[in-house]
Amino acid sequence: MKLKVKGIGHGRADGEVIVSALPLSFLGGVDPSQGRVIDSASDIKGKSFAGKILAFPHGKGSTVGSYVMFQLKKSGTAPLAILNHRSEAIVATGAILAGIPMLTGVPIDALKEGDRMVVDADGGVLEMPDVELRPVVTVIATREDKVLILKRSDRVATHRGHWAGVSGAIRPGEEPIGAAEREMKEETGISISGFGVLAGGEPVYARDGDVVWEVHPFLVDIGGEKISIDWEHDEYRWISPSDLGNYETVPRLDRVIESLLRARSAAGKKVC
Amino acid sequence: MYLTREEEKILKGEEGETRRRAMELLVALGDLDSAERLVPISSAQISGASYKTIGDAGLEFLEEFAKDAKICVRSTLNPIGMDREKWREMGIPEKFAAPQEKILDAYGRMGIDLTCTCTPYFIGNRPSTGDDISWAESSAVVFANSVLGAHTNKEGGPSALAAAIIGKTPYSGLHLMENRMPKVAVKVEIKLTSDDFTLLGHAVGKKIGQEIPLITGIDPTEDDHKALGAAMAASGAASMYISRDSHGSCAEFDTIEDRISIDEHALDSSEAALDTADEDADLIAIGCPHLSVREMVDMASFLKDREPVKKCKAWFCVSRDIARRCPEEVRILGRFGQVACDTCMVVAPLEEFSRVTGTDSAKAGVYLPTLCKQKVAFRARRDLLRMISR
Repeated sequence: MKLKVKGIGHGRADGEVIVSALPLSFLGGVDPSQGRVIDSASDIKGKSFAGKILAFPHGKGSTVGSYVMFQLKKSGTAPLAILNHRSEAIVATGAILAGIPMLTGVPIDALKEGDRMVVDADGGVLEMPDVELRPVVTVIATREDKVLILKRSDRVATHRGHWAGVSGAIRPGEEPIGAAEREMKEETGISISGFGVLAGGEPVYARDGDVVWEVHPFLVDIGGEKISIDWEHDEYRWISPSDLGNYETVPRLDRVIESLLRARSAAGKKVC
Repeated sequence: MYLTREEEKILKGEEGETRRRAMELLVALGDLDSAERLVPISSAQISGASYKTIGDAGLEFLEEFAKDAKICVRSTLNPIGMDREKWREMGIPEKFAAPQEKILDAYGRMGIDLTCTCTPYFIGNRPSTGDDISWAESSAVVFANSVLGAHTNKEGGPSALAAAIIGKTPYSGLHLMENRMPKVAVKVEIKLTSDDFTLLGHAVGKKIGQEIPLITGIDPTEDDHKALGAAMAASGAASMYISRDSHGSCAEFDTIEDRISIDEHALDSSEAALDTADEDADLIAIGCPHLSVREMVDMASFLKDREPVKKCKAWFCVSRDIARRCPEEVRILGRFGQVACDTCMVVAPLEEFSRVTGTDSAKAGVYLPTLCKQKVAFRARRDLLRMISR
């Protein structure tokens, strides 16, 4: 897979990644002489990032962290590159002072420790040769305070028997909203163009073996429209979002639904 | 971000590696802030000077950077961890003093004024209304925006240094007039003494976080402003406030979204939060931010006819420039304690020789427990002076 994100600083790196799901402070959180994480609250405590690509959501803590990144570089214990989801001044400053290639806007959820990757900070490109990216849409239909979930049949290719939203692959050349309308028509029989579909913004990423699902979420209220499912599903249910835990779902469905509902309740919602 | 042809050249490295890296940093930080372009600055104030805060990591960086970096606007430096002349008397260990001197040398090679102070506006680095500047010291940032009317964001040490080298900073945040409007109206319902302004800053900072407050009902002197802004930046994340006395009109501000009021009780609860010691102070530290000439004169005239009580140490923290302008006051204060130049109680390694510090600064009160492992006896300035004299 190849992702176009944003580069900070210069250079390329080719190596294995070490991934933390938590924010990192370089001051106090790492041992500069060893290139190792020592923060006891970190999920990669004790692990070395020297000579590897280091991925974490974003930096935190003291601004002196920028200087620690420089010190890592001088000691030869720096990571080959840094991948962040959200960039802030401390890590960005450190990456530039130290000359460590950095990418921001990287979906950390899509990465797995040991993934091989090529980082290009000048072009803002992340390439993972062993991983396949599959862009899909998930449409969450609502009716009053209920959301629609559907049980995937034995005839679909993936996640058989799991509960999901209306979903499917985005075809080459197709816009995500076009895929959302097509899948809704195919899987529920409902034509939603003109319904006021809410786009969920940033895609949600789910890692599944050597596949990364890039889920483009949409939300649409279908009111009293009649649903008729096709061969892809065995049954459907209207449930409260809080009951989702009782169902075996496709990866990250909870997160997709939660972010969509939050986006809808937020003021200034964007309607396609 | 839009770059001029000249800026592009620097970014490509045509003017050397250090200028390239400084430009790269400004552009990256500007992009994070959605700045459209860079803006020329007339002044810089650089933080990250004490060996205690930046350590060996910062020293290594500065020594390499100083090899060929030169600043091109008036630039001053924050306080360091010791008085350069009297560090032995102050109890600073040799292993601290040596790397501290190296840090200063590195800044000096870049052309930065080594009068180490958090009050650059008292020593000639005093921008005018509307000037774009790049300052990093949080108390000075508030003073510059709120009292001088200059425009600065709260920079980090490296970004202020990069701005000093290039002579520009990203045109974003408080450099833009539309971001300098108050969001919260703060009505002060009591008459304040000079000792109260630091508590007012503490109380307001806690309530407003990083919003810009419009504070009404106060009539501060310049020293009162200094205390107010420093405390506000320490307890919250304020970079600016607007103030009006009780007769001033606020009709021009239509951006207010929230209103709060400050009464006696708010100041009392700030005072209680700051006062964490139940034992006697072993150090009295006054001058956070650094003292003005006026404050030196006031303290000297109170102490002039009194005798020292050597129960505990005392530090009067002041920039070397101001100390030179007040020889008589320095002599008087020197009978009661150290007139400490270049440094202050927050960035010096106090934990090496003190456990309980008495101070009248809410900013010091906020930072002393974490940065210097001190308990704090928070008192009015007169009371502190009485503790060291009779």
